Amino acid sequence: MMTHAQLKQFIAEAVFLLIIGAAIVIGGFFISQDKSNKRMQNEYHARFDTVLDSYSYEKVKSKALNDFPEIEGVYIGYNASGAPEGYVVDLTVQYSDSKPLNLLVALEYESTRIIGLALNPNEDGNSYPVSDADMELIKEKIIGKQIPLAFASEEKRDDENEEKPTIVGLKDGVYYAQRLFDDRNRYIDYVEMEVENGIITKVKWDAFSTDKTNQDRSVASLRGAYVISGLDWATQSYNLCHALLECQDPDRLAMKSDGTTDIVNGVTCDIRPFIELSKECISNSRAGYDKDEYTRDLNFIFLYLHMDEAEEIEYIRDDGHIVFSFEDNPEIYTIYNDDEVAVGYMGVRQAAAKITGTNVSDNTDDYTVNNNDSMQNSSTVDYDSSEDGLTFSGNTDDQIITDSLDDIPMSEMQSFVEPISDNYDLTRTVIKACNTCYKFLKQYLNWKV
Amino acid sequence: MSADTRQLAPFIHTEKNAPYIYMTFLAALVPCVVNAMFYYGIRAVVLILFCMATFVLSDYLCMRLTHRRTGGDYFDFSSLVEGLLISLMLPPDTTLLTALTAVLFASVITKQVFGGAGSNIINPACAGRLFIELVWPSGTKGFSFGEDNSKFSFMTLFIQKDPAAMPSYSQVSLSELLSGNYPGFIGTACFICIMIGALYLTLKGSIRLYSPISYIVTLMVLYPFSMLVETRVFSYEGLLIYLMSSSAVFVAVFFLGDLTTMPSRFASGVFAGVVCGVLTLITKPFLSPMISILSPVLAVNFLSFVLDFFSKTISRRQVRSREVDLP
Repeated sequence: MMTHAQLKQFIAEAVFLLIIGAAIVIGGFFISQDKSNKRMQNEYHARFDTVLDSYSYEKVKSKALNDFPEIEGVYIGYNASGAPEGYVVDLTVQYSDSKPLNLLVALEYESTRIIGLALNPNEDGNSYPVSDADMELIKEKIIGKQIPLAFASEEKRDDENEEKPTIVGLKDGVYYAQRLFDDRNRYIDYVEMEVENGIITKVKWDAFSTDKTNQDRSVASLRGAYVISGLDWATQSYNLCHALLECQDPDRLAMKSDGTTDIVNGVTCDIRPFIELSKECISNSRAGYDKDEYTRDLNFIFLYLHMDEAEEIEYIRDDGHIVFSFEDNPEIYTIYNDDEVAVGYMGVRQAAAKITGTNVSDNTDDYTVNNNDSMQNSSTVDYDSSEDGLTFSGNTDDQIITDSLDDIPMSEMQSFVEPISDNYDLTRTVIKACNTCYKFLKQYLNWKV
Repeated sequence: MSADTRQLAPFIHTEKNAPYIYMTFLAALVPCVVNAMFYYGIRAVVLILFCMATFVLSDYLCMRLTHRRTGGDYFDFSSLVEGLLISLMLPPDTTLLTALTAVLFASVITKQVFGGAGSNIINPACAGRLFIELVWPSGTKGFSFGEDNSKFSFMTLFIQKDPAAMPSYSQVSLSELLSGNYPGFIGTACFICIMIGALYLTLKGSIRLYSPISYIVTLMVLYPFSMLVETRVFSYEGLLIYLMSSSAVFVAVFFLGDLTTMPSRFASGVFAGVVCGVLTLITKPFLSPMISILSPVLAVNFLSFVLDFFSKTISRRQVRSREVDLP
């Protein structure tokens, strides 16, 4: 049993110990803090001197680091006068056979040029499967380059000399197709395609809003007014258009039944409108039905349906686009089967011909692809997809269409490097590490690209 | 008439009652708690309160389940002390789940299974801490400090960070070691705080000093032999750093001085301290620091009853143990 007196005494003693303890801990902290800081700086020097020899280092604390689990730490190096000299990024990337490679990448503070690269020693003392000679070779290629990096591979140059697969029968000109109804966000998708020498050379996919107060979808997405999962819509549209320029055939984009594709880097949105409108453009191109004719026929359809209100409705924008949703007149553009069930949509060319009663040959909707492999692919605009997520060839090795690297559009790439001989994997791993540094800095410094 | 030769019953280790001893332990650990709170902030506070609360709750539930006494005039302060000891020996980035594992093992397996407070053979806090070190080594390797450390961060209580190697103390200065301003376990880093606690417990008579002193002396004397095995150099270099940073002093004071689980007689206490020190140094080159420090403590806990039994001979020769025998 304890008496009240004993309890009081204990409390008094505990309070006394608390005061003594606090005095010792706080006093000790101030006495030892200088040495503690020196010790920490010594540790940083021991780790970072090989990549960035600064007077002092400071660790970056940023929420942006949460999005980059491969980055273990980012440090800013300062010179003796306290001016920042550069960044040191400590990160681990997967090397061949899923072996992690812990790298230190030093970047110049102002220009983000790579000024140092080194393997960070393993904590468990194991050596990395990378020879010193290979590291020296890759340092020679990488140091001095500005991030982000991409390959300037010899294979790439060879590819440029090869003829791209082309669709047979494309006529040169500018072709255009737009949806005749708006989506739930009141956007009307359109695709504009330019053909030169029988090759698709320019593709643009965007959408305008039937609400005149809204901006086009690409502008809205860049300003944050139109948000989708993954990359912003404008970047995804850009990536997809470039993918079509590479493969020249919408069917090779391997759209799945849910309207997405797995083979174009960075594209996660529904690409169904793009595929359908691209095919309509190709069909128009084969028929020699250019943008002017398309716009004229679309205007004709509008006037056919809304002649009385034409003056009241401002349906033509300054840039010539006809901004009107025909959703109240689906019979104009809907294809029905024998049981009167809607099975698809027709293009403006067919819709206009239907109104005027003229006959449109459908043979322009069937096209063949000359891909230089003596393989003739046949495709139709009949809304029957190829096998889910696969191209016609079924060859999965050839399905990756890269217009971006490490989720960075090629248009952002600042430097290009050749892979070191006999060690492509290491070059790729280091490029990935550098691009990860770029993505972090882009987010951390809130760069606008 | 001859002098009074009455002795305490063999199952009573000291004339001081349990609440008194445990409250002195709580008071003695206050400086270490202050150190933990100062350097690790919210995480340390939550870890300490969580371990103490769950230990009390676990003990209470076990006693209810086994229909042992749970109320009346006795409050089991031992649960608070053991929960506090476990928490102070945890790294700052320990998750609550890891801490709970240690507490449940200590409370249920090493304490309540043997009959509860005062009946345990081994030190529950020591066993609980050792248990997670063995079964969950990655969960006890979060030593964020300096720029990585935030006093207001508590995410590591729920999400386990990537395990990191135990920091190297070779560059740590004496002032840092004395004040606890270096990465380590939350409550065992400050040498001065531990010594204040030791002094307080000694003044209160709540610990026996035979084992702690013999343990520390053994470590100091035999340390070069351990270095010889580890680095092939017979040297005292690093002895101070080892003693202060390895939690050896904390273990000596709060575990080896324990009245319940350590031998009660002088000879057996000294012998236990020496054995503990020798085992620590033998295992030091091969095991993680925490295992090499704690496992010898459990070994001598198991031996303490036997050691006391053999030291009865000394008692028969009228050489009284200062603590056990009544005046």
